[in-house]
Amino acid sequence: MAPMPQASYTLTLENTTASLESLAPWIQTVAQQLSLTAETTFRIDLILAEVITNIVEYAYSPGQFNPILIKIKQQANQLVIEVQDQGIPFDPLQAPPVTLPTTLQSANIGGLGIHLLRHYSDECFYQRLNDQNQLTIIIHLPTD
Amino acid sequence: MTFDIKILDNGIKYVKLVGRLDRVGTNAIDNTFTFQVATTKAPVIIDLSEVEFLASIGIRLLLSNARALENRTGKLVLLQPTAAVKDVLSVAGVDQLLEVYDDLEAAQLALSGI
Repeated sequence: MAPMPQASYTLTLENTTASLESLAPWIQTVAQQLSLTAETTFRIDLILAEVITNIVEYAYSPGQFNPILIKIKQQANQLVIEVQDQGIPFDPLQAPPVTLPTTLQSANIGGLGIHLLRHYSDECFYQRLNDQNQLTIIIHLPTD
Repeated sequence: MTFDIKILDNGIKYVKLVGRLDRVGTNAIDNTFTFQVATTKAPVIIDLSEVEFLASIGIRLLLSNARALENRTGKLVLLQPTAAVKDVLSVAGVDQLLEVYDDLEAAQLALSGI
């Protein structure tokens, strides 16, 4: 029998590349317990891959270790994903929209992560609270 | 993340990627992939049929290799992405920069004469 869904799921990662290895398996476990579709699971996977990679790469000075807290909860027909970190203040939603390149030579290879975050989330909010970055992402669940 | 390369009869490099092109997977193959894919001008087919996940770092790997090949007058095309990966390629505009094929024959035809 599948385990009963919990009210919320949390994962704490260190801001290291090695810790990213536990992210995708955790998302798969949560998705299974919440009986999410493959499409919704892929969206969460992509959103968190981009957000967490960004924090690991840019939010802290080299050698500075701090936790990143990820929480997923289901509220009626939506998933609420919260990401908190203690890094430098950074609101990814303030980044200007990406202009997609038209040729390989002109392809600016950066900035795609935030573009993907915006596209694959239904709603996204940022606040700086208690010296922490708090990003909240909402995904509307497909209705039967 | 792993990849395997075969040289087809017409000299095309056929590269099959297997796994997740996220930060962890891309880092695992980055240097060897680039060394084997983009350091000659032989045309390349990247088979994505067993790539279950693609994030921006994986897109950067594909684009930087495609650009390096183009600079050598080579060419790289993509083959059979899954529906989810195809959607990411489209959202990121990659399908406007690289040709994406659903069958191997069409991909080979696109590279004939390169």
